[in-house]
Amino acid sequence: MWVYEKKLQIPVRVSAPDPRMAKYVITQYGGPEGELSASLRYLNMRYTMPTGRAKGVLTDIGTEELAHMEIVATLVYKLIEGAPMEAIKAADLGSHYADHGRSLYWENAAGVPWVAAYVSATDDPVADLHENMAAEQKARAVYENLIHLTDDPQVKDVLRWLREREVVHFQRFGETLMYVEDFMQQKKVF
Amino acid sequence: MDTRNQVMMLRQIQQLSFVAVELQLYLDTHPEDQQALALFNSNHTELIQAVRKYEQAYGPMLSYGYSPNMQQCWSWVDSPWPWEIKY
Amino acid sequence: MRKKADQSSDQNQAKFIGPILNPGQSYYPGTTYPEMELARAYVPIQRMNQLYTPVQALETGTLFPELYRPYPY
Repeated sequence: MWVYEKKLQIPVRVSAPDPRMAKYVITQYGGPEGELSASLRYLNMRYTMPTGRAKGVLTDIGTEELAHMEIVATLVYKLIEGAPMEAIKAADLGSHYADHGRSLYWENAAGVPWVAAYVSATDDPVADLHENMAAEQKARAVYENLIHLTDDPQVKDVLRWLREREVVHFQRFGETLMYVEDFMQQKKVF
Repeated sequence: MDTRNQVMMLRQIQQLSFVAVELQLYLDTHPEDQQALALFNSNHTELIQAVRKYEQAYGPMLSYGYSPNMQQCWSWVDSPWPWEIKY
Repeated sequence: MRKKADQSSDQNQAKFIGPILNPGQSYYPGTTYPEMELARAYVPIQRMNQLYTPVQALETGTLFPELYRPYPY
């Protein structure tokens, strides 16, 4: 089960409100390569993984992605906090505001709500680990896109940090793949 | 409100907690690594110390019974919550 | 330990020169997995070396210098 820790994983600061950037960043909250997709994908796959290491890696990275989701939520929250209505409308966030006000919501940068089709689970450990490695690369790429979209150095710092985590997660899933491939080979022999 | 001290203590906990996370993920794929195991345990001791000190001043950090509530009332519900902290 | 299941299908494979390592050991630039197969992926297994301090680790996003990929854009 899950225990909540009442702290962010890293400090999050913004130099000034920026609803336009909030509209872009929210894609890592509820978009296809966002932290919700990542955590649900890994936490869901772990039930049918064949080895303890795989279950451990999926549980632990899935849990860390929930913490990242909180960081992204905090970024969006702080980027919108204090922004006047004119800025919200000028940032093309009016549609979001109509349905959700200043509340967060799981949607991509275009406002399309999250769908379970963003995640997959085939019960084939090799296929599933490749899906995870691809997901980490895609998340890294999206963080790079978001870094290009802002000049705020404090926002860039948070995005860079989250991007580096994707690099490390890719490495761990890659290592897990090596062990799982070995394990599947041994199963064939016996 | 004394947020500067709170932020300073939080930063230290974030550093130690992050080392723990990195070692946890490393150990998941290197479970026999004795060096990493020893480091994980010594980091754990430091982390718990820092967390307990923080909790004495600012209330429980973990939910569901893993942290004590050392204040006169249920400080878990006090502000600031993590997304409200001004770093 | 790894059992060699299908020796017969290895005849057309190139033999790479490199140290024979067991799962848990790691590969670094200059070496490859021995007897690599087609149609599968390989990721070198990290071998723990130097570590960042906790302050540096939280700054960079990793405890391990060899996993740091700066993005200064």
